[in-house]
Amino acid sequence: MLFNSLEFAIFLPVVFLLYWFVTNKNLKLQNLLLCGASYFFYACWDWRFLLLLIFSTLLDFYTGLKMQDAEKANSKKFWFWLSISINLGFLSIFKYYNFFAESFADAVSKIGFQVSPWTLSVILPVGISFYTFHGLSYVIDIYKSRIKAERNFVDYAVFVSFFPLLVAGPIERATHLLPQIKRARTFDYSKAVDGLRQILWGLFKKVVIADNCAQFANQIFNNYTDHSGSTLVLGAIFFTFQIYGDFSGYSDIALGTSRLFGIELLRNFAFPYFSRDIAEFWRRWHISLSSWFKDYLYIPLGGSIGGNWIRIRNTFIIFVVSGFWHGANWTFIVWGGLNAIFIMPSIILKTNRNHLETVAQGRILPTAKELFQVAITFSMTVFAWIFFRSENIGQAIGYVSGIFSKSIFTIPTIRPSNLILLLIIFMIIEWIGREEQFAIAKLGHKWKRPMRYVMYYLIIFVIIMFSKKDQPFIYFQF
Amino acid sequence: MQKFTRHLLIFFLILSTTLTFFLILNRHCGNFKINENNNILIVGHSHPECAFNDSLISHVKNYAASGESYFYTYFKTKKIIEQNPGINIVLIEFSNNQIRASKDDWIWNEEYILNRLPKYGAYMDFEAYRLLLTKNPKGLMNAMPAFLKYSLNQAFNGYQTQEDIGGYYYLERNKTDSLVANINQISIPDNPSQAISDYNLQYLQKLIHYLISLNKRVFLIRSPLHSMYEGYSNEDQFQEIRKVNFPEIEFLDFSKFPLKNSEFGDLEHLNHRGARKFSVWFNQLLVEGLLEKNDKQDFINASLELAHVD
Repeated sequence: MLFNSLEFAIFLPVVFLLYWFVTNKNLKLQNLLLCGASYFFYACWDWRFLLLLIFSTLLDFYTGLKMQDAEKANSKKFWFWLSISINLGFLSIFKYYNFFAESFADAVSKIGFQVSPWTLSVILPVGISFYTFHGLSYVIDIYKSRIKAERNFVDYAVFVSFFPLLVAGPIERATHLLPQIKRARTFDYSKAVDGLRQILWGLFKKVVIADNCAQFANQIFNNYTDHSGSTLVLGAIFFTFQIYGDFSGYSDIALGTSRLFGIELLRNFAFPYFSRDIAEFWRRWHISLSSWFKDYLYIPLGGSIGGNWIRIRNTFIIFVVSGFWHGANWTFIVWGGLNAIFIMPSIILKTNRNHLETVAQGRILPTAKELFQVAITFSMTVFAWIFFRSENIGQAIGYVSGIFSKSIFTIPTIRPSNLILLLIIFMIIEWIGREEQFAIAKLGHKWKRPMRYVMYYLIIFVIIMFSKKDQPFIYFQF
Repeated sequence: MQKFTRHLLIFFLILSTTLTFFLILNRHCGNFKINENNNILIVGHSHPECAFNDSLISHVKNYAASGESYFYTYFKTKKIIEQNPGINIVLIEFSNNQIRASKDDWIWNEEYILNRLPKYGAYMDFEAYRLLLTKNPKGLMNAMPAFLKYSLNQAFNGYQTQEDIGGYYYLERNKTDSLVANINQISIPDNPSQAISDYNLQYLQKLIHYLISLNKRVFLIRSPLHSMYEGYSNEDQFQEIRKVNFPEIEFLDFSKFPLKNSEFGDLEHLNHRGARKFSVWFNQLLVEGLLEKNDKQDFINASLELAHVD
């Protein structure tokens, strides 16, 4: 069930009405409803995936309790490693096994041995990376005694499987979400309206920006040898907007939907393409994943304590692992490595926390320096996305070689002027709203209601006019 | 909560009223006008779409469309007839594959609903929606945004003459030789009695009744087909259904029109070369008064004989 489908347009109001009108006086019932609705939502992809999700939930719930109740350190350690290994084991089998088997066969063939890799024909369960990371953070937090194990299974199941975040995040923490699940929730008009606005903006980003950019990005990437350098640049820019519109649009819908149920999720995007350096970009892009890696990988590895070499090593590790988290392909690893290289100067010079506030905060326009910094950062990001989008490293290198040719100075052969105009308008709206949670959070806030409605109708109208057939979200595959 | 629900209801009421307005507008403003000189309309699926090059045939408009079932043809033709009272003859393709049960899928299969509903949804009646809803509710739901989009597009483009509802298709391909070679290796299955497309045929009946009620002259036609066309396997059943269900409608059979392999796109579609040859011949038949003859099929057969000799 895609967020941008009619099924979801029916599912959401039904759950919303049951939640606030039928189960509203009983928190247990509300959570039970959320759990049931989330399982139904997930089973709509494939009911077999649901069994895996329930098993993973039961495992972490049970091992959490066992760790909590363990009297000896060894026992606690046993349950901890049991949970970690099963969780990572599932992830490895479903997501990475074939990659390792094929890479191994490739590697040994290079030294003269021929091995036919024994691969598995299994499909990747939707959202496995996301809910596995939910479970991992929960188990690690209990092991480190940061939180206590949850004793109510339904509450824990809602934490893992809450439908807005189940298939593509944000990656929540037990410390943030579980208390909200356990607390009685009251309906808040302004939050609900805000949630609907965020859903609307998320749909706009997905349906209008991402899906329309995808059409041209796919056309150019799939036939990259036939296009001029300038067209390839345009193709990479289209993909840059596609992935932003797709993933941040999904996150907006998830956050907005969750807000309708009185639950605040972690913010996942903060206008990353207005970043002045790569470090700032990574504080603004897929925030919940970056902070997960920071807390559960970077800091345990020693973080930034211990000198430049340790910082460099740890930075490389988290970026490469982050790339690998996205998928079992060398392209993702190279993408992560590239970002590590891009961020390295600011790590070495310790300028990685120079830009903590929003660009041109309190001003309408940026300074020439800020504009230059944003443009450079954006260009580096576009470059890295080429590797992310390519099918394999060969294609990525071919694509980049195609860009850096004489034909880069020609006029692009594909010039969808309507889409380019739309992207410019989109970026202007994003710029205006860059200090808010999402671009239209405060847009028209002081207008009279009819005017605000006109704005919403206009957005809906543009969504209908630019809609394509239901397109899945890119991040579902991760 | 009450305030939120009230505002939401008002918002969606205004929205749905506005969108419904555009749908109704489309129902009334949809433009199906064709050249007033044309008094013969051809409808059907891809066979006539590729066979009748109407730029070579006087007073004929070909509005056949690939993959179109009689269900959608019915609503399209009604609209064309309403807006073009000068059309007094309608030629409806009736070919072997149109009686097969698989053609009912052309009504409610997701892909077909998504393609046809936006174009004809505004003109369809309650009965038609009930059929789609019963057979494929999900497909119908999923086609709704495309339907809205199409209606809005129509409104903002000023309801220009609809070009995407059919017309002669200039087919370039020619893969007939390889298909024939394959058929020589794999024999055509002999399957005389196959399941029938009930709903598709019902809508053909409705279409014929509608046209007759308006005193239009209606003919069933069969476009040229390759002699090795697999669809002939149900010929007996096809002829029986035609005689039982449409006894009073004259059947003009052009299926045996002589063409070379290079003039077919495949075994059931003419390419542009075949269409040119056939259309010039068909035009000559019309000039010679085919539709006024008492023994039309004899006249056609005699002309086919001559075409063979040529």
